[in-house]
Amino acid sequence: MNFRVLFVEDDSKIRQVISASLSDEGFEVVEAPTGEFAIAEVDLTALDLAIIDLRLPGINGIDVVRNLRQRTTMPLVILTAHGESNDVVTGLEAGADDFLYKPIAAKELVARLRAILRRATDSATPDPAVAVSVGSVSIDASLHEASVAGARLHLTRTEFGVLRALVQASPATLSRQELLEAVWGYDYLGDSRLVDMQIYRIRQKLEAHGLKESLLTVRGVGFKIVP
Amino acid sequence: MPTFTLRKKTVLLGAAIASLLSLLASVSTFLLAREYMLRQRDDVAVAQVRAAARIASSTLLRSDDPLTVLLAGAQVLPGARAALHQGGTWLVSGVGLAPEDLPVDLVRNLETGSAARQRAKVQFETAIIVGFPLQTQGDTWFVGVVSLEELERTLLTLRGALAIGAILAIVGGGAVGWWLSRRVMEPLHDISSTAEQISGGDLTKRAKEPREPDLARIAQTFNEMTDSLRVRIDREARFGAVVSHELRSPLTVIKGAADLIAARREDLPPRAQMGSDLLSERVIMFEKILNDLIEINRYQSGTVEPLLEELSARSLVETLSHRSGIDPRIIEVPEIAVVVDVRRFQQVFENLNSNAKLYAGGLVAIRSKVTSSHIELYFDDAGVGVSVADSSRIFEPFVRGVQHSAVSGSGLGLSITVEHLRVMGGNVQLGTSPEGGARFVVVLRRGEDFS
Repeated sequence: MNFRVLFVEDDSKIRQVISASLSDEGFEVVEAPTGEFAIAEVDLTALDLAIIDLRLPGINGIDVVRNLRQRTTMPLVILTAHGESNDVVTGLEAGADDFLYKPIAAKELVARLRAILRRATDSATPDPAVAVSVGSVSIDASLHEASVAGARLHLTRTEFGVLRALVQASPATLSRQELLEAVWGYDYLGDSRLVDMQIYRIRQKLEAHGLKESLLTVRGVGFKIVP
Repeated sequence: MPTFTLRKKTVLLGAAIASLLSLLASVSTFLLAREYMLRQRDDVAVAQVRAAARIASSTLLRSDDPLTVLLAGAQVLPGARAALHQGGTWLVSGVGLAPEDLPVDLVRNLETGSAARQRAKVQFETAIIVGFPLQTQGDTWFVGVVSLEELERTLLTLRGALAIGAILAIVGGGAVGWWLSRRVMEPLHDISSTAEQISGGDLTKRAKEPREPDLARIAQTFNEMTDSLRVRIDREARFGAVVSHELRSPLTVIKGAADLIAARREDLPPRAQMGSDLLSERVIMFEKILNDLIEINRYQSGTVEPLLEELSARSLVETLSHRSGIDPRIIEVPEIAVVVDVRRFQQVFENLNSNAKLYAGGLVAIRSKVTSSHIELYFDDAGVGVSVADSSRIFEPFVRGVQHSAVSGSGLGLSITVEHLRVMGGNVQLGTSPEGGARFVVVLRRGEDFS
């Protein structure tokens, strides 16, 4: 199965060279030179993932992320200048699932995309418990669906990954590092802000279903889900 | 180490000068006043006794009775005591006066037939004793003893008043010194604390301008200097940001192109393969130098906000070692929570590791020592160590080992290491490893330990 990736970047030379590298690795790349273009493309094409450069002419990258997040559950990866901490934070807040620093190396980019996509669509992953639940929270891994007391929970791919890892681990606590490894495919040194942002979003969605004390923070250790 | 601050010195000097001056003034005032008052009193006493002696003398013409003579004289000396000497014996009027109390010198003077006066203690009180011979020949003398006790009391009061004045002057001098020093020092203090804040990176701070024109000038000049400094730093930071951003896009393309070529390495003739290898290698180095420049530029423009979290020191070092291909058996680091910015610590680690590789054949051990508040990580190698000439400078930007100028790198690695560790609340020092090579001591703050 070939993954289709949306690449939003205003520099045509960068688009060209990254597209070529990704094509080499079997990805199908849909190029978008502007945010407007990208937003239109989402409605036209079935996509698996989007890479969004934050510095764009016209609609800026953050607004593109916000817009795409409202209309799609696919992983959104932002591209930002090395060490621009504020960009990362605003990008994650707008709904991005992961970030990469520019200039990106093709190999690193491919490895990262593979890790994210494997988790997002991992029907291939051995999964002993296809449907598990903790209290009223149920996970159906084969359908990629989560529900609270029978009502469907609308989650992004990454949120689903985090919730599933927590439900499967329950009653144990998962550390940020364990979640990064399970969901993002990072080793110990992934950015813990990625986890915190997803936890925040999942918590809000659970609360909307009346589950206020379900996803707990264990100080100094990590997170766990309780009935 | 100065024991006294400038302010204390000013206060003390003010107080010292004030006390010296007031002491001098008090003492001289007292002495002059005393001398003047005593002389006045003497003159009055002499005049009184002379008048009394005249009356006694005229009484002597009419009466042979010494008592009558004495009393006639004593009568005009109210509050004083008197004595009459006639025919070798003394007759005394007034309480507690004995002939022996009269000074010998005075009596000797009277014996020669001349009048005399003298200050002396009579019955424990100071008095002026004035004697007049009543006849040109013979031994009939009239002596008046006028007490100076009242004057002594006046002088005592005066002395007290002057002493209080002197103390007030000392305290006042100190207070004036304190006030003056405050007046002068406060703007200077303000400037120095502002300077501290500015050197700490807050370029928005300005010194308050005091009302005194002299001091206001200092504050103004200081503020102008800060303004121009800020403009320059802003310009440099902007320059750095623009340059790094403008370099990044072409670098992304070059890197991508190099990767595309490298992916087809096998299809290339040998010469082109060599070119591709060189290109890939240099692009990586170029990127590292660019990132170092961006990093140091960010520190210089003071826009660094670390992302601190608590992690296990052991897991952290193990993961990083694994990534860098370091043998896990050389790690001697305990499971202790440390406060780090992961991305920055990773750079510190990789930098120390690559330095050890470049200059000393790699790390031989990562040891540690735990204190109550910190953990010290020792990055030890078995190379030749860092020469004394280098050791004082290696943490400065753009400095590399003198014998290793051929080794490539931006020369920014260690100064970035210093800055990275500083924002994490730690630091880095240089020592000697047990193997005789270099030891880089990385100090990190401990977190609350995981239970």
